[in-house]
Amino acid sequence: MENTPLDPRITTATSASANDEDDSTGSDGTGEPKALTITSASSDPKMFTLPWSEPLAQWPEDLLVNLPRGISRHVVRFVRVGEHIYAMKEITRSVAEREYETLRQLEKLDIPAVKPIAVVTGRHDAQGEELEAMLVTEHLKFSLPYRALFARNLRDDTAQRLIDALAVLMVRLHLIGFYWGDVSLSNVLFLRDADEFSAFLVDAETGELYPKLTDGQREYDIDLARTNIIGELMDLNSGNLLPTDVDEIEVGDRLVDRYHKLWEALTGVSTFKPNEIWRIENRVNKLNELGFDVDELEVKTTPDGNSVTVRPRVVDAGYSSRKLMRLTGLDVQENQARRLLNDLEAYRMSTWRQDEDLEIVATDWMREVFEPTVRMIPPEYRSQIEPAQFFHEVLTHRWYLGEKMGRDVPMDVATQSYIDEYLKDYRIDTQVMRAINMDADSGVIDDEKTYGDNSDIVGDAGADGDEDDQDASVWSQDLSDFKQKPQGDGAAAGGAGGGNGADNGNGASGGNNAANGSDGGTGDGAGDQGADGADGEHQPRVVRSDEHVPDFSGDES
Amino acid sequence: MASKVVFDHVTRIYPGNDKPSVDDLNLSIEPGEFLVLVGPSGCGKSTTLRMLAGLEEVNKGHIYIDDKDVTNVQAKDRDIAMVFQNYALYPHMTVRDNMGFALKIAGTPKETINQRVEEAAKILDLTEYLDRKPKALSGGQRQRVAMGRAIVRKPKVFLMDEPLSNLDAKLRVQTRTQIAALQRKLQVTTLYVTHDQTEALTMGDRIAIIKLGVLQQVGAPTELYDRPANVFVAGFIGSPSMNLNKHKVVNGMAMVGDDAISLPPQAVAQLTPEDNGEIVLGFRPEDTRLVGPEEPEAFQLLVRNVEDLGSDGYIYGDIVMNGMVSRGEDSIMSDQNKMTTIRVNPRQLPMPGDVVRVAIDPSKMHLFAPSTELRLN
Repeated sequence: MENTPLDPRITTATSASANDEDDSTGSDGTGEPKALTITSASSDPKMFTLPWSEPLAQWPEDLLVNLPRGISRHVVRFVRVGEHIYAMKEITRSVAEREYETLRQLEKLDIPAVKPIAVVTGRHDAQGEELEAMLVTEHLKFSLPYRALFARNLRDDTAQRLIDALAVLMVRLHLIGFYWGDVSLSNVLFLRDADEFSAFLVDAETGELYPKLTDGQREYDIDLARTNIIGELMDLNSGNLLPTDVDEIEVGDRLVDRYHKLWEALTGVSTFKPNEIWRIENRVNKLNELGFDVDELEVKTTPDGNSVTVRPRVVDAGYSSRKLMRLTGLDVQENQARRLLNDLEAYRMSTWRQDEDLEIVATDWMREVFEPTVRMIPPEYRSQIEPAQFFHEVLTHRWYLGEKMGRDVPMDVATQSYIDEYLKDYRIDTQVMRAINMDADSGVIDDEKTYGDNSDIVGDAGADGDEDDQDASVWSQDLSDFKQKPQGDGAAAGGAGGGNGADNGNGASGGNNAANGSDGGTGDGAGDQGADGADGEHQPRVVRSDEHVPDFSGDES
Repeated sequence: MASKVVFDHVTRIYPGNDKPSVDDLNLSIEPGEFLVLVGPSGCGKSTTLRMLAGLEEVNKGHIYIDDKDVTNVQAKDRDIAMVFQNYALYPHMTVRDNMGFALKIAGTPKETINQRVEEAAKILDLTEYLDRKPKALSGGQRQRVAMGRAIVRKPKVFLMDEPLSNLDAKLRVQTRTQIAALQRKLQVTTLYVTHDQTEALTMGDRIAIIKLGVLQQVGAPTELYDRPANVFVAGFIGSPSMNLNKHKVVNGMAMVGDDAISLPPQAVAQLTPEDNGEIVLGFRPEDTRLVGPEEPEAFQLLVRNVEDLGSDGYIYGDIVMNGMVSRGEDSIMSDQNKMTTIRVNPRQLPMPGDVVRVAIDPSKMHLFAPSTELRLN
């Protein structure tokens, strides 16, 4: 049997354990520390000034940052702490501590995941009642939950591209022995990565690191991912947020397929004839194209000497991004890095410097090309778009401009034109944001304020008749009415029109009728979709026909 | 029809470990039974559940569901449901769709989906909410919709791995009751894993206690409570936990501090030379009474602390020996800060510093051999 210990980076690293200060917790694991305890890798004194004695759902607005949140079963908020924006999640102590440790391990292994900041325990309200613990992670700058991506102008193949990113993340996690246990689009954040996306793990509640995963564990993760993805897309479809020609099941199946292909490419054994050793290089090149570095290859000759087997033993993601980092110091996503490296190469050619060291050329490229371009990002967009992504978008735009005009367009002209015409797509409309965050909250199960049951499994069903009216008014405030009020305080929503029954029918089947116009919709009318929610539907999705395509394949109208 | 699950000499050794995480496990879960697997963290209980789920390899032995050997069957083909693995609720879907979408993916006919969803909704008291969206539900109802997602699949077995660890104390108690009631309505064979013995006692038809990969005892909650098979089970089940002390045996009597307590001769007869003339005597805090100086067969306890809970009073104290307290010896095996716990009428609580005399109900004594830690009576 193969002896595969845990990655030494985990076992040898010293870590402040959230459990270190365990004050004789009872065997039931519920013992909370008496006083507020913040276990943190980086101690920011500002953390202590936060209103820990309030339930998170009631923290004052001025502390919160309005960023799109994903669907969660727990209360989650973004909070500004000094220079940072932290995501706070209210969960039980044991789960918070476990997830904190898990995220720290993933961090040490260079897995794309949110960065754990702290676990806060021993919270009590003014009456001395215990409050749940809090897991604090750093908000991943420029990242978006999938729902926010679908709420904006996007290309028809967005779902597919998200899936591809998720497949890469899953393979990377499985390679290091991480069983996720809860793979879904909701548990991932996406960063734009040139024309693709990169996926970051945000929810590790059920995850666990093993020396090596069994096929059963991997298959379970894949199967669950497929079910969850299809469910998430069906949900988007119910809300008219999915392009009409997307087949949810097909997209779910794509994950399974992509995963297996990538897994095979990274771990499979290839067999050659002894005189075909050049094929090893092919194999390595192919892995580089997929964005992986090969650190260790296992090459064996079969006993009869007739063939050679090759299997990559250690692969590391981030081939191009490491190369770019070495050359320029820029820390960007893999596909962005590839794009930037290509532009750097083009710059070297165009300046007749093929014979010079790439390192030296890179310095000049940074100074003459990259930096002047990204300096043009208007200040109000600097928190919305990553410089490398901006650069990539400008390059693409410039290519289009050049084609239209039949000549080369200078970089600064292309940049200004891009800013004027397209940069606004990177903004999320506040109305849309509100709708997204209301959606996110509607899955919370453990907020004490809203837990209160109308009925009881063991009790009799008739007991809750009185509540119907109130519920009806909550109900009548359908998700589409995001202009009304963010939180569904049943009573306060009285004004929202629409009878109970009528709305029911609408909500259930409305998936199709509002999708009109989403097909060939041209122009930029998308931005103001939120304004006319009068039709009672969620804002219709509008696809921009002239949207940029990454690979110049020109499959747009 | 409900299914039966059998673990037949099942062993799981993780690569690189020399000790098995689960060692030669023999356990059956009867059709429709709610079996709780309980033990301290790292005892192998989750590994056991994951082997049944198909997430862990079985190195030796076999697992059967309804006489079908599933040891090497893929997880998704085992017809089991891991309940509460953080089911998300989808905001734009109705409760009906939230519960039924997985069936839809599996290609189940629409009428069947509707019928199963409606059945599940009835059981979960969600019928009138079927056409609502999650936003219009309370947190508790949302939680039940998530349960519904598992129920409509009508799996052969439900697997629940610490499903309540996500909830705070109050919600945990509520949900605990709901799950137990639900399982009884559904009669689906269920394996439930927890580290919390209270959960185990309140929910399970039977409880299986596991420690360091080895099954210690299986039985109904009262069986485990009344007749723990060994010292570990005795100390693990019950809250506050059983008082367990090692005592010298002199003339068939246990020397509890300065006092001698009679032991059943058949138990003493089973002691062996390895036991060094000692016996482990256990008694639950409620199986005692305070007695006067005239009463024989009682021991002295120096009261350190008292608690008045209204319905019950508890005394925590140290056994008196040679006029001294005997605390700090390793003979004390219970975990209440190494003190002896006695339940008394809260209206008759002594004061800290008092010395009281305590008699143990002889029919409720638990006797174990120190060498093997196995039950003697």
